[in-house]
Amino acid sequence: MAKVKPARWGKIVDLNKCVGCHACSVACVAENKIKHGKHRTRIVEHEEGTFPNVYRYTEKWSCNHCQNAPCVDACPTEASHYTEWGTVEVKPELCIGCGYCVLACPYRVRMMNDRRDGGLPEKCTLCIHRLEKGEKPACETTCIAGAIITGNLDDPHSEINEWMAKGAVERRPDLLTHPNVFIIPYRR
Amino acid sequence: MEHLFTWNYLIAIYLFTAGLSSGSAIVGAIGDILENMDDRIKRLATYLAPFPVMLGLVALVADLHRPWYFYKVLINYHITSVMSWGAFFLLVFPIIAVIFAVMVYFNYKGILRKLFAWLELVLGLAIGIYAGLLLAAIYNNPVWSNPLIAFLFFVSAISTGICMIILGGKLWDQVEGLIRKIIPGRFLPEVRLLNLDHQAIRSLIGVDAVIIIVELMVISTLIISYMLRPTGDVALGAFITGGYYLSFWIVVVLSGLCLPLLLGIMELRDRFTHRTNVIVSWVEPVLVIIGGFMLRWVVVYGGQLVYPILTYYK
Ligand code: SF4
Ligand code: SF4
Ligand code: SF4
Repeated sequence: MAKVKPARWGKIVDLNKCVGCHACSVACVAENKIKHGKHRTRIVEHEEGTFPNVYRYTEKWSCNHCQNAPCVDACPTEASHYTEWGTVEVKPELCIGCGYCVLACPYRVRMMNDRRDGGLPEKCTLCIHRLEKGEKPACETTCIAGAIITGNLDDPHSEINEWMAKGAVERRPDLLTHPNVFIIPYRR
Repeated sequence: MEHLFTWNYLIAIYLFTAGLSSGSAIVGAIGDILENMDDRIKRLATYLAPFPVMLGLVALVADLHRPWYFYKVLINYHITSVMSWGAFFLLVFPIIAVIFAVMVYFNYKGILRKLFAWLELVLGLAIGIYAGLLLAAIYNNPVWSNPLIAFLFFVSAISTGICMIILGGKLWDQVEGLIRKIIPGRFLPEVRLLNLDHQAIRSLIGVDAVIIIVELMVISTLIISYMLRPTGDVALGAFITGGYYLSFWIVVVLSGLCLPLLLGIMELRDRFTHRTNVIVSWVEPVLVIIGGFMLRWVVVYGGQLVYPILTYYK
C-alpha cells in the first residue's frame, strides 16, 4: 500500500463478525508494548433479550476518537489533543497524570499507567505509527474474523466507506461525541 | 476491577481541605468586610484559612501519576477544563490568604486591606464551589453530574469551616505562644487571646445548626433529583441504597449532621450544665468534620463505583 496521508481516519467494528477471541487485545498489547495488566482495547460481552429469546454477542471496545471529545475538554493542560489524523492522543510532555480524562471519557476506554511505568493514560492511538508506514493497525491485521476495518473516512472510494454504507452507527450518539470509530450493530 | 478507582482517598482529602479553607476564608472575609463580627472569630478564621488547602495541594500532587510534571498545570491553561480553573484558584488562593492573614495579624489598616478582604471572599467562594464542580463537570457520571453535588459540597464547606474555627479557638493560644517563642515580641503586635468563650462558641454552633439544616435539605433534594433521572437506580446504588450506604447514612447523615444538629439545638436551649458544655463544644465540631470528610469520600468512591455499569450501552 502506498504511503498514507493524515486525513479523517476512522475504524469500523462489525459486531456480526466479531467472535470475541481477544486476539485484538493481545495484538495491541504486543504492538504498543503496553504494561502488564493494562490494555487499550478489550472485549465486552452483551447479553440481550428476555428468556427464552436470549442471545449473546461480543464487541471490540476501545477509544472512539471522538471529534467532540470529553477527555480533551477535561484535560487541564491540553495534553489530550486532536491530531491531524482525526484521532485523539496524549502529549507526554504536557500530561501531569491527573486521571481526569480517564474519568471524563464516557466510554471508559482509558486507564492510568502506574507511576513506575510513566503514569500516562493508556489509550488507543489508532496505531498512527503503523498507518504512516502504510500498514494497518495491529488489531485489524490480527483479527481472525475480519471484523475490523480502518481507513480514510474522507476518501469516498475507500473500503471503510463501503462498510459505512452497510449500516455503521456511532456508539452512544446521545452523548454528542461524534466519534470516528463506528460499529455495525449485531443483528440476530 | 483493579482499574475501577482512578481517584482515591487523596482526592477526597483534597476536596475536603479545599472546603475547610473555603468556609473559613468566607467567614473571615465577611467578618472583615462587615466589621461587626466577634473579633476573635474573624481573626481565627483568617489565620486558619490558608493551611488546610495547602495540605490538600500536597495530597493532590501525591495523587498525580506524574507528580514531577505538576508545574505544567500552572503554566498551561485550558479554558474548557474545570480542573484548569481550579489549578488557577488554588495557585492564587493560598497566596492571598496568607497575605490577608498577615495583614489581620499585624492590624494593618491601609487601603489594601479592603481589597484583600474582597479577594479572599471571592476566592473562598471560588474554591468552595470548584471542589464540587470538578466532579459535577463529568457529565456522563450519574452520581457526579448533578449540580446539587457542587451545592452540597459548598454548604458542607461552610459548615466544616465553622467547626474548624471552633476547634481553632481552643488551640490557637498555644500556637500564638509558639510564634512568640520564635519571633521576638517587639516585632509583633500586642497579644490578643483568641480563646473563644462560651458565648462565641454558642453563636458559631447556632450558625452551624442552620447550615446543617440547609445541608440536610440539599441531601434530600439530591436524592429526589437522582430518582427523577433515567439513571436513577445506578446513581442511588452508589451510596444511598447500595455501595457505600453504611458510611453515608451512619457517618455522614446520622453522626455528621443529625447528631451535631441535635447537640447544637440542645446547646442553644441551655440543656447542658457547664461541664457537659465543654464536651459538646469538642464533640459537635469533630463530628461535623468527620462527617464532612466522609461525605467527600463516599461521593468520590461511589461515583467511580458506578462507572463500569455505564460503559455498556444499548
Ligand atoms: S472515546 Fe473516550 S478517550 Fe476516546 S476520544 Fe472519546 S472521550 Fe476521549
Ligand atoms: S491524565 Fe494527562 S491527558 Fe489525562 S487529563 Fe490529566 S493531564 Fe490530561
Ligand atoms: S488501533 Fe492500534 S492502538 Fe488502537 S486498539 Fe488497535 S492495535 Fe490498539
